[in-house]
Amino acid sequence: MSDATTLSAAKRERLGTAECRRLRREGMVPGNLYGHGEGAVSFKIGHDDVLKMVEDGHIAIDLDIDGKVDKALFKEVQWDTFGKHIVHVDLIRVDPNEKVEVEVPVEIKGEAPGVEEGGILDTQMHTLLVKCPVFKIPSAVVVRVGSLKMFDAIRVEDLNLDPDVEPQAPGDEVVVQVVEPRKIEEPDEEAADLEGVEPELVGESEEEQAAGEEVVANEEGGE
Amino acid sequence: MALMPRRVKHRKSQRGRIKGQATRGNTVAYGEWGLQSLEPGHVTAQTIEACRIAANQYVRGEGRIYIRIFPTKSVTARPLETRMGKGKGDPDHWVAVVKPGTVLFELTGVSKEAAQLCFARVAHKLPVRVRLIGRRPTVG
Repeated sequence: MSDATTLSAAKRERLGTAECRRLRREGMVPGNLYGHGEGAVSFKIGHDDVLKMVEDGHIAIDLDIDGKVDKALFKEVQWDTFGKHIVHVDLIRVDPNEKVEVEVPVEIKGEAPGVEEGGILDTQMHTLLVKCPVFKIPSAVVVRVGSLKMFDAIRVEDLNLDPDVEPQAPGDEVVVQVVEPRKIEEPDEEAADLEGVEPELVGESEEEQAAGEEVVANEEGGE
Repeated sequence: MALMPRRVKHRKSQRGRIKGQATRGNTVAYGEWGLQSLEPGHVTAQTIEACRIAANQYVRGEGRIYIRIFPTKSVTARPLETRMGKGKGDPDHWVAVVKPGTVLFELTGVSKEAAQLCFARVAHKLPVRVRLIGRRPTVG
């Protein structure tokens, strides 16, 4: 279960793009808190604090805005192009006992015997959508692959989850599997010798030309 | 065989300028590790193929590589020893337009150390500076 942690924020009085840019230059992140019938609140928060919270996988937090504490979930985190800095956060108010749908990261534990046999551990699902009470949100879905042989798979129905945590994905969906490595295609010499070959132009294939002629014929016939 | 589109609307395109940063295709989507471009540039189909071979030779049998870019832009060239004029040259090769932030390749099924070594070999072949990135943390 993820520990709800308190983040201290301050209310934003001045809004807008320019003000948000100024905040980012000062090492702050603009954010919004909304939901549960209460009005939206714009706040600012320290970049390093929120980055640490996100990297540690805290999904539910206690947000302290000028002394008023709300339990909230991260709704959306916006990153810069290179994924280094957070540029904006959206938080949604929640009741600790209400059931919510959240994406939880999948954590692979152990060494699969199938990999030693020459297979590749293929993680199909990096996150799992689950429905559970806020205070029971797991920090990660742990998948133990210690018994996974070649061509074996662990599906959603095989996961060992808390009874209060309901996965929202179909039970037969594969989470992780051991697959055979794909054979590396050696370039065919004949196929490689395609210098000067150009792609077909749209509208120049025989089918498309025939279709175009039909349209013209229909238009002429209709007049 | 080098990558190129099957069908195109126009054979030739103008050179253009690469402005701005990547707002799409800038996260690791399929694998666990990604190679992210830090500069704008054109990566040719031949370079992509060389990178694929280099990466596959390193991870052979261990992991899987994903290629996230595709050469969709044709580059024309004039034949050797011809005079200027007489119109634009014929398509010579195909390039992928890469903006800063674009994830070029991804790897799965390997450790971070292995991904670093694999991508170091790939980076030598690329015309842009790159860095290794992981998946973004999941919240909400």
